[in-house]
Amino acid sequence: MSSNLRAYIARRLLLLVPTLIGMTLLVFAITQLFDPVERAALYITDPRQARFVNEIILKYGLDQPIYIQYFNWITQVIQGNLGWSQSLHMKVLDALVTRFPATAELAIYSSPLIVILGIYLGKLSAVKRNTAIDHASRVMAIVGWSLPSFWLGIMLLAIFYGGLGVFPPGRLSEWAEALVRSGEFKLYTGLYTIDAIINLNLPIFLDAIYHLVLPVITLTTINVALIMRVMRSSMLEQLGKMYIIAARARGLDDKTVIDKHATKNALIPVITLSGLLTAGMLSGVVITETVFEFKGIGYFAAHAATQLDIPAVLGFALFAGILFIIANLIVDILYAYVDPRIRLG
Amino acid sequence: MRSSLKIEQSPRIKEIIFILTRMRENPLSIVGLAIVISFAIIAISAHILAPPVYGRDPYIIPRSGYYPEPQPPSPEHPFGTTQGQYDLYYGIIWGTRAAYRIGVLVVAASAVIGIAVGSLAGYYKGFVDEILMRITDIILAFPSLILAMALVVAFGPGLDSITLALILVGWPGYARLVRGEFLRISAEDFVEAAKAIGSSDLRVIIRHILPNAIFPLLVYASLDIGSIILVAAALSFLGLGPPEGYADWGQLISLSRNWITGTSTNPFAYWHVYTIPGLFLFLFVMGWNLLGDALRDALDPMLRRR
Repeated sequence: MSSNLRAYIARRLLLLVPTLIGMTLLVFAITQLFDPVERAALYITDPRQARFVNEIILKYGLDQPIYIQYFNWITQVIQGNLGWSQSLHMKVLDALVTRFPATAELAIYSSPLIVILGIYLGKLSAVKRNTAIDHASRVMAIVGWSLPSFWLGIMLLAIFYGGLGVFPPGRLSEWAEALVRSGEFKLYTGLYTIDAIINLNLPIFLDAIYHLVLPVITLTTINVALIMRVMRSSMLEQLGKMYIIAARARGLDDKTVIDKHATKNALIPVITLSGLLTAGMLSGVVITETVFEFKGIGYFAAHAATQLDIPAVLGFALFAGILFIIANLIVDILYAYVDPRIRLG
Repeated sequence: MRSSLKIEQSPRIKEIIFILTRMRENPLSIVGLAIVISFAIIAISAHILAPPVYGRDPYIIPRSGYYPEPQPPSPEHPFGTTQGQYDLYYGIIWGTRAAYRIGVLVVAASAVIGIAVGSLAGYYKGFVDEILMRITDIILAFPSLILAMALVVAFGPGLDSITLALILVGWPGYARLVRGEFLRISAEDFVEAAKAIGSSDLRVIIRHILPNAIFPLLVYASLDIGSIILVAAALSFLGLGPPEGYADWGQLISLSRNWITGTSTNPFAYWHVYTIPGLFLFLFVMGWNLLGDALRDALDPMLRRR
């Protein structure tokens, strides 16, 4: 790692601090829309404490000036106390931690599909510009872009589960669920497919995959258009450049020119999309998990929202925001790594 | 000689004519425009297409009974009824108007706030710019659906809450765009000239810079309407929208969730409850996206005049 890159990363990390403070300020501002009694749920870690609302109000200064309240609240948040979720009957942080593996499992299977498919289709579309293939994949991109994810999920469920009796909603079948809970099956990561491999349990692995098919298809269809569109225009831009003409003039065949020269450079803008993709996935799982009753953090947040479970919704928003910021940080560092102009500029 | 006979055209009119010609060459843009106009006609003539009962809120869907099972399309109910016997056809027609209302309201309000903030930041630069842009950064640091969801919970479920939440989440995008355009245009000679003859800041911003930033704003807005309708419908689908029975596409789709398995003899017995409202929502969003896409292509200096 060059000293330039290291300095760039240090600068980027430093810039993270004001953004994080800003995010917590915004979430805190939202809490101010509630009265102190409602806000008390943000501080308790046990429902029994709810009986002593007045003590909580006094302890955390909910009747104090706003900057004191912010300070008290942020101290709690930094210590990992996001409050009590009444819809789940557990601490918000615990709920997020226990439900995260399900969401991670969805993301682990759909992200590579989205990226590979998006890059492949975008490239194909650019190389075969203005042919039937190009038009077909552009129409596909627009359709994917415009499809309401919840409707796509419902249609897939209606056709496959309702009509053909395959790919049911949920994360596991009942028998598999019972086995996983039984203790015979050891949970290491909480990702059922990975745990099944570690436990050498093929039926559980297949059952988990069986339940992943439709949600993964939904997330992929909705998000693939983003990568595809950028890859197409980036590839078109590269193909029009002088070095491509020069490469062709040297007598290189089409395959070498496209794969070795143009694609590499065209991929650079696609990297920046990973941040946006993360946001798309985070929003996507709220809907997808709800439709398919796939109990991850998105399902948790959506249910909490309908029951006006304030600490859970705000905790999830903060969690999603931090994840999004980290994704953007990684993207920026990667970008600086592949493109020296960024870190030197 | 001929040019003297021709009416002098302003460059802006020429630009519009040029864009329209470019768009006519793209078949997808015609499809998009046709869809958007069709929906506009449906929204405007909702009174004629689905006459409301006199004296009642027209956005409340009339229901025939309280029987839970959805009924298939019939002469009386062209699209059938949903769970709880709400007339699907009425809901879709008035839902079109509701969708236009929320889309246009959110875009207009976000654009106004975004233009104000973006032009201040881009014109005065420095400290003002720094502060305003950090605020937009914070809002853009959240995935928009999730921030909107938190805001709707805070304001209390309902259509007004969704509208307000989407405005609060949406304006930073416009502010960023307008600021960028202002930074670019402020460096042009004609701005310097306007200032030199003593034009006030307000005049320079409104008369000289803003008109030159209007086209990128139009593209952004047309692409934004589609995604706003999607997020609004998603929030309503999750159960954060108006109370049951309101003409709202997201809610109509969520009313279909219990009926995807059909009956024992016909697995697709209730096909109409999930297919029809979703199809309308999808077409509406796609129309706007096609139109926005075509507008962008027509305005992109890299692609045009080739």
